[in-house]
Amino acid sequence: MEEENRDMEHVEFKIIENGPILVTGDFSFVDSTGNRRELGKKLYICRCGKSEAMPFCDRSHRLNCFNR
Amino acid sequence: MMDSKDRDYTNGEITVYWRPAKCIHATTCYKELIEVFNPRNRPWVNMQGAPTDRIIEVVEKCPTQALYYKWNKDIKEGKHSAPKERQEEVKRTEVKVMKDGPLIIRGNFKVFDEQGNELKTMKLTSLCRCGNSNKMPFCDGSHRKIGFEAD
Repeated sequence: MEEENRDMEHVEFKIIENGPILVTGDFSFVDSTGNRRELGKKLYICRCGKSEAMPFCDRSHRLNCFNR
Repeated sequence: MMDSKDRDYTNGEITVYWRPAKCIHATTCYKELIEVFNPRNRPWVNMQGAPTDRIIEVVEKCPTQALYYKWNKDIKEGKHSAPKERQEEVKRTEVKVMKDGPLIIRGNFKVFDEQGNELKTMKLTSLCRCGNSNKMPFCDGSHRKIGFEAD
C-alpha cells in the first residue's frame, strides 16, 4: 500500500484565500450524481457555496465578499 | 480505539456502532436512509426505521467506517472488536463531489492552506464547499445546518 502510494503522483489541493480550492495533478473526478468524468489536470472547486456553476468556481466569492 | 463519544444502537439483531471522531460528514448515511440516520433526531439513529439488511447496506457505504455494525449473535460470542481499517486499492487519487455536501478526496494528496503551509491529512478527508465550516478548509458538517444545496 505504502509503496503503491509512493509511485502515485501527488494531487495537490491549494486553498485560495477568500476563494476556491485549486486542484492540480492526475486525479479521477466523480460528480454529485456519481458519474466519473475526465476534467484535465487543473480544477477550481467552489468553496464559498454561492457558485452558479457548481461544483466549479465562477468567481461568485468576489460578489459575496467571501472571507474564509 | 474506544472514545467516550462513541455510541451503539441495536434492533435486537444487529448493533450499529457510531464513532463521531471518524466521521467526515460525507452525508452518505442520511441521504440513503433518513428513516434510520437522521441527524436532527435524538438519538440520531433509529434502528426501527428500516429492515436489518437495508441498514447493513447503508452502513457499509460509510467511507470512513465511522459507522459499522456487528451481528448481535457474534457480539454474544465475544467477537465485538472494531473493524479492521479498509485497505482499499487506490490506483489514482479520487476527487468526489457529494451532493449538498463536501468534496471528498481519497488517495495520495497534499492540502495547502492560504499561506502555502501543508496541512496534515489522512488518506481520506473532506473539504468544505458550503462556505460555513468552522474547521476550514475541512468539512465540519455545517452544510446540513445551513441547508446547503448544490451539485
